[in-house]
This record gives sequence, C-alpha cells and structure tokens, in this order.
Amino acid sequence: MHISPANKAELRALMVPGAGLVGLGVIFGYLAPNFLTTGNLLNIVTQMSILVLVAIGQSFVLSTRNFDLTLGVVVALASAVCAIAVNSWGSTAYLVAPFVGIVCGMLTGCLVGMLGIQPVVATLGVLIGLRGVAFLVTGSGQVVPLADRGFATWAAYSNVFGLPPATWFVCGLCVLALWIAKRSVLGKKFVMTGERREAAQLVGIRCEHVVWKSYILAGFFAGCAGLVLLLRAGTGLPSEGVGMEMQAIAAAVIGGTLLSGGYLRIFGTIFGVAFLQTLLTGLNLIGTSPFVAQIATGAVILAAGVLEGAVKNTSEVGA
Amino acid sequence: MTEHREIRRSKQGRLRLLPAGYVALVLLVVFSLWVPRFAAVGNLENIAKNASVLAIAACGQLLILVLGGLEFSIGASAALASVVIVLTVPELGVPAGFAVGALVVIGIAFINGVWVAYFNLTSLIATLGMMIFLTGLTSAIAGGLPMEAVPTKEFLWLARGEVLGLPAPVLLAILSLLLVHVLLKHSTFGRLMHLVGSNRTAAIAAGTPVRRVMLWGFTIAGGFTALAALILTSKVASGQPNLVPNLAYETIAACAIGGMQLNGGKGHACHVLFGVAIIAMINNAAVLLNLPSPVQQLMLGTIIIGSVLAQTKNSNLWGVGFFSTKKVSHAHQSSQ
Repeated sequence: MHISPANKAELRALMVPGAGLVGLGVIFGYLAPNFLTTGNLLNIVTQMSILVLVAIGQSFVLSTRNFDLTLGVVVALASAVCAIAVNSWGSTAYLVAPFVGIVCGMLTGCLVGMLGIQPVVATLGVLIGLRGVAFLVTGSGQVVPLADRGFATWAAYSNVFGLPPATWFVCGLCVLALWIAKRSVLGKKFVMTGERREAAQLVGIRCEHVVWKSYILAGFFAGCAGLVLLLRAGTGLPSEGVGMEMQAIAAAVIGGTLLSGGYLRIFGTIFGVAFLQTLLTGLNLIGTSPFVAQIATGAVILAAGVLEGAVKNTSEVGA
Repeated sequence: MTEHREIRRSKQGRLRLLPAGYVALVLLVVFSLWVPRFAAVGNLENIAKNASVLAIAACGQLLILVLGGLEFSIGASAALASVVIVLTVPELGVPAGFAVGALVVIGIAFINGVWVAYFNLTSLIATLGMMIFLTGLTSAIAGGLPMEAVPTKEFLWLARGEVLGLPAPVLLAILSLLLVHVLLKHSTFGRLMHLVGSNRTAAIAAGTPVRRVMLWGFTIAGGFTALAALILTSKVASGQPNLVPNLAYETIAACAIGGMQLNGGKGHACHVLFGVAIIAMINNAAVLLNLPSPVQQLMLGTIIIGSVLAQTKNSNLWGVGFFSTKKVSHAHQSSQ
C-alpha cells in the first residue's frame, strides 16, 4: 500500500499523542483500578465531545494560519440562544445552534478574511462584543433552563448502540471534518492558503474567501458544540466556555498542528483532545485537586510547544 | 512601511497626532459636553487612576507586540504575584514582600523569553501554557480562595499614595510611558527590537543577536507587568487567584485601539496612551450613564473593530474602494 509523504508525516506526528495516550492508560490503570473499565473509557469519550468539536473548528482556522479566540463564547451564545428558541418554537429549533455559530463565523471571518484585520484584534473584538450579546439575550447572563427536557435527556444520557445519541452526532461530525480535510477541495485550499499564501493566490485561489470559509466552518463546529452542551446540561449556559478556545488551540498543537499554518490534522486534534481529557479524568480518579490538573495541562501544552519548536526549522526563531 | 510614517514631524516641525489621538480628543470633548459629572476634576482624576494599571501593563504588552509576539500569561502572573506578596509581607515586611512579588513576575517573563527565544516556541503557545500552569499553581497555593492582607498604610501606599500632588499610580504610568518611548525610539536595543519584530531574516543577516534581543525584550516587558501587579495588589489589599483574568486581552485591545498594527515591528508609546485613554473614558462614561455592563462590552467590542478598521490603511477595506486613494490602491496591487 502506498502512503503519500504528507500522510507519512501526519502518521509520525500522531505517534506522540498516541504514545502519550497509551502511557497515560498504563499509569492511571495502575494507580486507579477503575480507570481501565469500559464504563470509564466511554465516559471519557462522552466528556470530550464538546471540546473535540471546538478543537476541530479551531484546526480549520489554524490551517489557514489564523486563529479564532471567539469559539468559546460562540459555544455559550449558541447554547443560550438555542435554549430560548427551543422554549418558544419546540424541538425543531435545536437546529438554531449551528446556525448561530455560522453567523458568528461569518462575521469574524469577514473581518479577518475580507477586511484583512489581524486575527488577534478581530477575534478579540468579536469575543468581547459577543460576550455582551450573550448576556443581553439572556438578561444579565442568567441560565436558560429548557422547559421540556425530554429530548435533551434522551439525546445526552440514553444508550443507543453503546453511546448516547449526542456522542454519535459528534462522531458523525468528526467524520465530516475528516472528509473535508482529506477529500474535499476546500480542505486542500485551506492547507495551500496557510502554507504559502502568495503561491495559492498565483494559482487562482481566492485566499480571502478561503479564510472566510475556514472561520464559518469553525463557527459551525462551535455552534454544534453549543448544541451538545445544551443537550448535556439541559440549560443554556451564556457564561460557559471561557478559555475553551485556548484549550482547543492547545489540543491542536498537542496533535501535531503547527501554528505557522498549512497543517490540517483532524486525527491529531482528536488525539490531542483525547490526551487532555484522559489526563484530566485520570487525575480526577486518583483524587488530586483540580488545580493540579490545571498545572499538568499547562505543562503538557509547554511540552507540546517544545516539540513543535524542535520540529520547526531551527534557523527560524519563534514568536 | 516604517513606523515613523504614523507619527512624524511635518515640514513645519509640528507633531502630527495619530488618528486614535483625534478619537480620544473627540471622545473627551463629547463626553465632557453631554455626560453629566464627566468633566469634574475628581472624575478625571478617577479615570486616570483606574487607567494607570492598564497603561503600565499595556507598556509591557507593547514591547512583546513590537517583537512580533503575544503575551497571554500576564494576568495569571499578576495573580500569582498578589498571592506571593500577601504570603511574604507578614514575614519580610512590605518593601521586601513586594520585591519578591516583582521578582516572581520578572522571573516568569524571563522563562517565557527562554521558551520563545531558545526553544523556538510560538509565543502564543508558550504564554498560553504558562497561563494555565500559573492559574493552577496560584489556586493550589491559595487554596482557590482570596487571601486577605493586613491593610497597613505602607501596603496601600502604592495604590493610594500621592507624590507631588499626583496619585502614585498615575505618576508611575506616566514614567512607564516615557520609559517605553525612550526605550523603543531612542535606544539601540529598542531599534533592534523593531528590527527583530519586522523582519527576522533581515535581522539575522545583519548579525543581530536575535535570541538575546527576544529574551531581554520579554524580561523588560515583565518589569512593566510586575509594576502593574504590585499596584493591583496594593489596590485590592488581598491575594486573589482570579485577580485580573482578562488583563492580557485588555492590554492587546488597548494597543489595537491605539492604532497599532500587531504584526510586529511597529509600535509607539502613544498607541498605549491613546488606546488606554479611549477604553478608560468609555468605561467611565458608561458607568456615569448607568449603561448595563453587557451594553458596555458590546460597545467596547465594536470600538475595537471599528477603530482598527478605520486605521488600517493597508487593509482591503481601503483597497476595495470605500476610501481608496491612489497610493493605497497601488499598495494593494503590489501585495497580490
């Protein structure tokens, strides 16, 4: 079987989080007897479902050499608006959540892609503004409980073929993301734009539009994450998701994405999220405080960054 | 593409203001006329006092941005400093306790600089990891709760004292801005920072010690963060793991509102001055007008994007034809 050089590099990059994951499994399996049970592993899969969607969205933006700080607040806004919509229009209004994400993505993407504002400033401005919007629509940031929790409880906590339907939904979205990254023209355009923008422009790619689309995709995935959050919590949470965009960047970097653009590694990102979640769950099971988990997360991000720095051409300095 | 195009002396020798300077002036006039109690001396002093911490921290962020980096961990390291100070002051006394806090912040900035300069880490990742690490560490030390300090007169002096009739934080902010200006525009090291931030390949080719410039740039920026952290600690008189979680965002926003282009190599102390002034005046006016805080946030977000849009001469907005001039459309063509 022939494996292309790009896929070989991706497989090699996967080995780091993969080995880390196995290592964590061994360590926690030894320290906490109930860690390596099917129930706990499925629990980890379910718990990582929100972050994995945000991280996949972030990966698309990172691949075009940009980043998006709004995704955390988009998750919160989508869950809150969706809860309000479901309360007034019934269950079909669950479709509002991805739509909210797409609208936010269009706005941010327009600022970065079309108008050429630095991604830090543009997404920071949108982040602050959207936090205001999320608080306005819910009236000073109160949670919005669902009037009828029947569907949400079924979707998030029932068991269909071994996993809750919401988790199957997330798996479906992961497959969709893999298809976009590996098989679609758009995925190739993301990578080309991120790798060498001038060259991409010369072969006729409209890079502004490509960047715009990457933000829309990120918004869509963040909106879906908001939907999953709403289903799992049973309430719209307008102040949730602070810092989630940062965890998403961290997960992508752990999974072998370089921030210098041109890398679209969905499998790596999924592995990165799995690694972070396994670490957090494992530390929780052996009874350490949540602060220690934070310290460990920070250390893991720094370690991933060191690996990234080692991979990069040594003649170029970071920053 | 020189940073001198933004502020330069014209033929008559007059200093031309940045666009953000005009915005700040207009806001000052408009608010003074229409917002009740805004122009009172007490209120203006209040604005200056509230803005001074942000201004000092933004001076540090400015240096990092000139180097072409981003610094996300300043809020977390300020929180750690506050906890360390509250823990050490009873043992060592106020001056030594504050010095330990400052050393902690500068040490963290030094470590960030080492990661970025010598381990080739992207500054985003290095400072992000550091931020999460420090947040956990601070919470673990403090047990997740704020720790009260004994509010002696000495402890509170840095935030509430007065020197020559000026509040101490305002004086320190003015000094910081002057220092940053001299450092960036009138020192060899500052010019090297500009060079490293604008074109690293050229800097290496010219024999600049790029790694050393980055390391010391981060460390000096840490000095400003430390000063801001000390004033904050003295202001709240407690050690809080959650002291200023958004400090990094606010400082970046201040530089952007002040008209700075964040892609490295361009930066001026006036960016910080005007950006912080605009943010502080808007926040103050919103409080005086009794606007709810979500509206305030919405306004702030809009102003960030609006001011950046209005000031980015090379952005596509100008090229698309909204405000196109001959020069800019030429620049747009050549970029394609």
